[in-house]
Amino acid sequence: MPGWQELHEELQEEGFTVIAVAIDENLDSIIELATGVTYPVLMDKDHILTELFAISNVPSVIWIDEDGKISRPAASEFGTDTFSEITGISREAHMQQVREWVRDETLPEDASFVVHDLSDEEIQARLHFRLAAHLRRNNMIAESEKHFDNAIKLAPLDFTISRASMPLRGGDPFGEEFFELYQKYQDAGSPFHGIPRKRQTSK
Amino acid sequence: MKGDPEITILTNSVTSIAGHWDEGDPFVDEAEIKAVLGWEIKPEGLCKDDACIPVHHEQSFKHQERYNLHTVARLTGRPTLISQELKTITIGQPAGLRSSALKDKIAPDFVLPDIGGVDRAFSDWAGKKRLLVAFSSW
Repeated sequence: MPGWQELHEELQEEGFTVIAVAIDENLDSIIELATGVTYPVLMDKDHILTELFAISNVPSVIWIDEDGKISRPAASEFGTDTFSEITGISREAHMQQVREWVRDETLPEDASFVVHDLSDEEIQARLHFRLAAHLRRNNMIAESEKHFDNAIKLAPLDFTISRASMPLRGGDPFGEEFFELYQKYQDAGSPFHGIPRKRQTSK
Repeated sequence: MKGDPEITILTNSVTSIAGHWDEGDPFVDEAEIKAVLGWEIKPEGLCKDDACIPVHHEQSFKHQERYNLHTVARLTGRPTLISQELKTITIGQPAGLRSSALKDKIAPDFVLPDIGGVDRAFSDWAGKKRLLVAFSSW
């Protein structure tokens, strides 16, 4: 969040804003993450955005112009370099591209990439997740668990389903469960709804 | 006909309304179809703005003066998950909005609360270049 704050401050006088949407229901954690942030931060506890834009992991960053046209579709981009050793993604190249878009209307080559649509299974998985989250909020734990299981069965490598459900079910999204998921994801060729990342050949 | 709420609908919000079930599908009053999905039942079919979708081929569109919410959702391009056991229907986003986003690059508008609890529309910031960042604490 602080990284996006720097970019927001740098470009906000030039007709630009960051809008962050938390694919999350943990308001306290998001408020903490948003400390010092002056751009809008919205809560999407029911994952509406993951269905509207076919988002399958976070962070996913989408560029949208003045008229509501998508200038560059979803890509994994980071506000900080905290995870750059794991992801191979550094923040600065993307931030420079954003400056060029805002100031010169220049788009990178990958902006024309067409993100593939959600499968029927991925759509149904989102509905099961939505229902499970609702049931859990109403303390219908057994029923909720069943629908979380259904969701994960339908979209096992979708992080907005599999990983997002971990804290809701008492698990640890940064623990062993996550590393197992990440390994499976990599073994499957890192399936992602968004611009594919050319991996930098670093260790 | 009217009784206690019998159907819970999960869309962008949660509503519980009167209705009944027939052969596994939820049936609700005409006014609810418009309130929940934004489509009106007219002699031409299901209508929104100037567009109408014919319904006369639909087998189980109407039952005991109520309308099949499952059928209306399907005809208007919205995925559903029905649990009669839980008396709940979960209705997803219109597939056409996502398709326009992916193929025609038209960003769908959406309304969500900010961290202060105030509803905000993405289009409130129209006229600016917007970096939409989907993130999480997980």
